[in-house]
Amino acid sequence: MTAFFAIVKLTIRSAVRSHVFRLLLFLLLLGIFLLPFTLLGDGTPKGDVQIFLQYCLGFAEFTLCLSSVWLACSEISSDVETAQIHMIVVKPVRRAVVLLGKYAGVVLIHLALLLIAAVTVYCFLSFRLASSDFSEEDRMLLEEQVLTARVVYPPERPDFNALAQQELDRRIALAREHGQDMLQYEDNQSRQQKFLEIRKELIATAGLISEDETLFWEFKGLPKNLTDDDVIFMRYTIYANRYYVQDQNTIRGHWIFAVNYVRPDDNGAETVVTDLMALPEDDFITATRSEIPVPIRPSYFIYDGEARVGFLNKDVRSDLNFEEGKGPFLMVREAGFFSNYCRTVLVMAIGILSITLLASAVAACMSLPIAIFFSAAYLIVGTLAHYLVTSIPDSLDFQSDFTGTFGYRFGDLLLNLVVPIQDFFVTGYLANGELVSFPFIGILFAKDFLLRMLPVFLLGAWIYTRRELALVSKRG
Amino acid sequence: MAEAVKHAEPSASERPVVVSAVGLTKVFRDFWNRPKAKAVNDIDFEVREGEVVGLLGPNGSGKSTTVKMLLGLLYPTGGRLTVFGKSPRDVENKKLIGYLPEETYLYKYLTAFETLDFFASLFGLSKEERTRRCDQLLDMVGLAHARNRPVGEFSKGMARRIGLAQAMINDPAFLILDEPTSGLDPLGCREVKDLIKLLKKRGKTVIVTSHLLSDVEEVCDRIIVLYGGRIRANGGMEELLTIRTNDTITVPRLPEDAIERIRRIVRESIPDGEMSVAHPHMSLEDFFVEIVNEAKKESLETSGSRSGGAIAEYLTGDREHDAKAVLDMLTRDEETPAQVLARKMESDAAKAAEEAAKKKQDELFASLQASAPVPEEEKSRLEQQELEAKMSEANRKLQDLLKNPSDRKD
Repeated sequence: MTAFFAIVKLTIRSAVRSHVFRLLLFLLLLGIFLLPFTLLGDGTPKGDVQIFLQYCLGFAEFTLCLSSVWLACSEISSDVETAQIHMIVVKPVRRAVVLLGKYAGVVLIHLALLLIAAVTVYCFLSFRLASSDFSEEDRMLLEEQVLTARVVYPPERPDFNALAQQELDRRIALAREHGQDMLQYEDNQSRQQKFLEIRKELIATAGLISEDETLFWEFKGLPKNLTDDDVIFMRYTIYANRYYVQDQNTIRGHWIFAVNYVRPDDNGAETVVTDLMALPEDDFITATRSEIPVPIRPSYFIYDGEARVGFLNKDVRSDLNFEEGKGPFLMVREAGFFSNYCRTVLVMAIGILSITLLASAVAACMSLPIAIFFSAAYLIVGTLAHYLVTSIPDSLDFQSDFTGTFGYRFGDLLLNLVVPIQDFFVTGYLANGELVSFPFIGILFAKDFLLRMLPVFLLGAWIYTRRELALVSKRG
Repeated sequence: MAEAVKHAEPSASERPVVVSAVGLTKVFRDFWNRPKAKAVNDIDFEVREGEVVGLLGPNGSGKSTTVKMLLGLLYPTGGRLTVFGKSPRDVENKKLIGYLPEETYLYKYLTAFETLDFFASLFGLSKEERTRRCDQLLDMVGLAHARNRPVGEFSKGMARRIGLAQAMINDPAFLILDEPTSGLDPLGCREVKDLIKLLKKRGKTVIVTSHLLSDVEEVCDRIIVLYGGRIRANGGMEELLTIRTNDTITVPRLPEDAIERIRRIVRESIPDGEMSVAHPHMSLEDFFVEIVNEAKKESLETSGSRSGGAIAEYLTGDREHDAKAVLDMLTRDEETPAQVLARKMESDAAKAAEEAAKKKQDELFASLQASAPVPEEEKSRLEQQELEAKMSEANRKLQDLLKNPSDRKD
């Protein structure tokens, strides 16, 4: 272990002397200390704090990721190119230990910097909250919606396949009944195509609400142990069909909540009666993410882990649309802000560990410029693959849309091989008061670090231990 | 009897083999795996324990490739190479090896002490042991005063010294020194050569590669001459360099008439042969060292490295009594080990030469008295040329080996 620690120490010393590292460190400090004063936010205390958290921590993480790629590549590749590694590997120390020592050195210095950045941002935030003259309402809003850690519960998703099949069967029966042309339902391929069309249509219209109509969403798996002091929040985004999707306008409607009462029935036994409670008709801004507290005590709102929410469209001018994946979501507080902050920093640390692992593996078998290019390419490919998969709608017609199908499949394949760097950027969750749960962190660690990055590192280490190190030489 | 066996010196061929190369070949390939150059071509050699072997050859002859294969930095394409009976890539084996590369690749931001401490850490030595060895080595290579200076500020000579120190941090049984005197001043060269001699006395095995043939000639028992990746000559220094057709007699300065009488006697034996009489030269290196030593006595300082100090105590060897004797001498007169050894060797050689000369002179005078007087002959015309020719005979022979390797082919 003496050799291992000596290499770790040497790597750290070498790292702090790197000009690029110093530049990135300077940028990091600049970002941490200057960003809070330059970010304007949306003018509300809540928005300001959200933007502060997201940008400051995000910038720190991005800088540290860049720095870790650079340092891992330069510490490992340069040693080989300048032949300094010859002085080490002719000593009784395994090459795997040399590589691990260098990896550990780079990781340690970045984790220390991450800790400093995280503590600084947290202190800034605390200072800002303590020194700002927020109204009681703003302060409450901040504490309930930002400085908290809430679990997000999405509504139950309709079984679009079953619904599409039902609709297809209905149309076929109707066509037979009316003696219509059955050509379009004749063979399997035609029926499949029709099925996909219907499915696509159903997904697109699942959140559509016409005037004076109500759409309900079912929520399951909600916590059963909430007290009446707990506040449940609901987040949603409404779109109006008559406007361009991103345009902000005002529409009118009601939120409706199902309320559960326990009442004795005629026989004296207790039964649950569900009633509906509508909030007063109100104006809503479209294409804007909004959050409201559910105005019903949890014990009345949630029954056996289930709840029901609806929206009544009272806008005479347009149909309204709640797009798939944009709510409404119910949010229940699970932990405090500090705990969530620490979890976010933990995810950032896993990101640094993973990215350094990748850069170390690549640098173990390539020259410095190629290693940096390869690491950057890997991360960009991961990002693009993630974009490719998420940007293609769920309603994609796999039969007829060849390019879409190819893009989706290709992106999916890439995502199984590479790690999208945005997996580690969870400051958005923190800023929105969403819980970064331990299962989420565990899955991220297992999926990205253990299953994808570690095999790449082991491959790099295997090549490193077998390389003829004296074949490379570029006097530095 | 048992004692006798214990102290018996094994002959070179009986000593254990440290390096064994059989059919060793190294082919460098391009990106497409096509052969690009055959750096080492089917060579066989052995290095036995306690030997100091010089690996000679012009640039591109395969010396560095061979050394790198010995260190496991390059892998042989063909043949078999073992160091201490194991693969050169064996990690445990490397505890026994010390390596001074041609260019000392040091971490410029580390101080001299930190550099040695780092390399000592790679051997898993304890903190106390590392500190002890580092201090002793710094003293030994004359860099104790630069203990806390970053090695990036060192001159090339100082960097060589620190490189040499790191090569000995583990008290290696087998040292590979690639151009050990490169970049050193004559004083440093002398110290390194003396150090190699001392290491040999302590039973260490050393492979030295150098372009400076005089250095190799002075310290090596055996040389291997490489050219074009093949071994062109491999043998003991005496065996390869002795000019068996000439004799040299060294005596203290004689009066003119005595020289004339000797000439007459010699002429009787070789009437037609060329003969020269001259005063022997000291080498330029000896002259330089003498001047510097005199300057030191006058307390003139230099900003670079200084003469090496006492040999590091931890550098153990098979011949403990020799080491102890040297250390005793070091503590007595406070001279460097190199100087002690050189002085000891010089004084032994001088004594032997004096005795031999006295004996020879007596014999010569006896024979002169017995023989009839010979008429005076003319003084030698080519005294100076012959003297120069003889002085450089050995080096010329080596140069010939390099220039016309085919001539030496067995």
